Amino acid sequence: MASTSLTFWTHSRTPSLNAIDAQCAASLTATPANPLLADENVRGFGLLLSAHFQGFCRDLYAEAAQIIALKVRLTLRLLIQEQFMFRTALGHGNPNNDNIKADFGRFGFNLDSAKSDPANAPRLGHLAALNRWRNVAAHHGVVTQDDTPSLADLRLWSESCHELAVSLDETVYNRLRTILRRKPWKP
Amino acid sequence: MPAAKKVYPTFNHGDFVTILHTNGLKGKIIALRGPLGPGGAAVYGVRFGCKSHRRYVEVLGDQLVLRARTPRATPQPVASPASPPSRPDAG
Repeated sequence: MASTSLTFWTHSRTPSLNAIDAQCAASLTATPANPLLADENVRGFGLLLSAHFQGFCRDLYAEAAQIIALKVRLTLRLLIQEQFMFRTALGHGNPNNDNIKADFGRFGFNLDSAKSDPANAPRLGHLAALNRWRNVAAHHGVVTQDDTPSLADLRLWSESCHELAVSLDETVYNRLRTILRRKPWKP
Repeated sequence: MPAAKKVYPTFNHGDFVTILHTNGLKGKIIALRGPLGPGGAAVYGVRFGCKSHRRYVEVLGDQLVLRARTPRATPQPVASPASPPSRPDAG
């Protein structure tokens, strides 16, 4: 059961991230080594991973909101659509667990990713670490050698983002199916 | 005879539109969100409202009517390089 957002994540966002991953790996193993370029690539990979995951969450939220708005009468539709888009946390904030819960909570349920799938607890930890690194990289915060993630860390975070995306897609599907009493999108 | 599939117009960044079923609310397209609507329908981000109270909404393409297209910059033909000045004859 894949939404348009998850399909786009799988077929467009993931290949883009894989290309950055390959560039990162190439710069880390380049001979002669170019530590400046390797550092920039690691920063870039973290930023782009966070940005693409935020994009996926916003897409899924918008997709679900449009499906619900379609069920109300035409004269009320704009009102519902505007309420869904008003000051969304994911519109300007990092894709952390609190912001995801705040936005998807507008569909009338308490999104608890860790409870919906026990495997999500460590993934949420990876997402928190990714967002910390994203802020350090974006704002050029002070970085110690221990803070800098390795390529293996970034790959682990990327895998966790993918698994969280699949889990979130499934949770939203089930929630919409309960509300609408029909399948929100073709499984 | 199969029913003809309804075709909705596509919009571009900056197009001026009217939102249907809203007493003629006018707005401007500021985001192309892609096929996120039911059945792959296009979703557009529209800014509307007065200057002191700008509002934003994401709507389906079939809720919009085009008022005016934003003029697109037409590509200018590349000027051919000026021919080098003729070399004055020696002597």
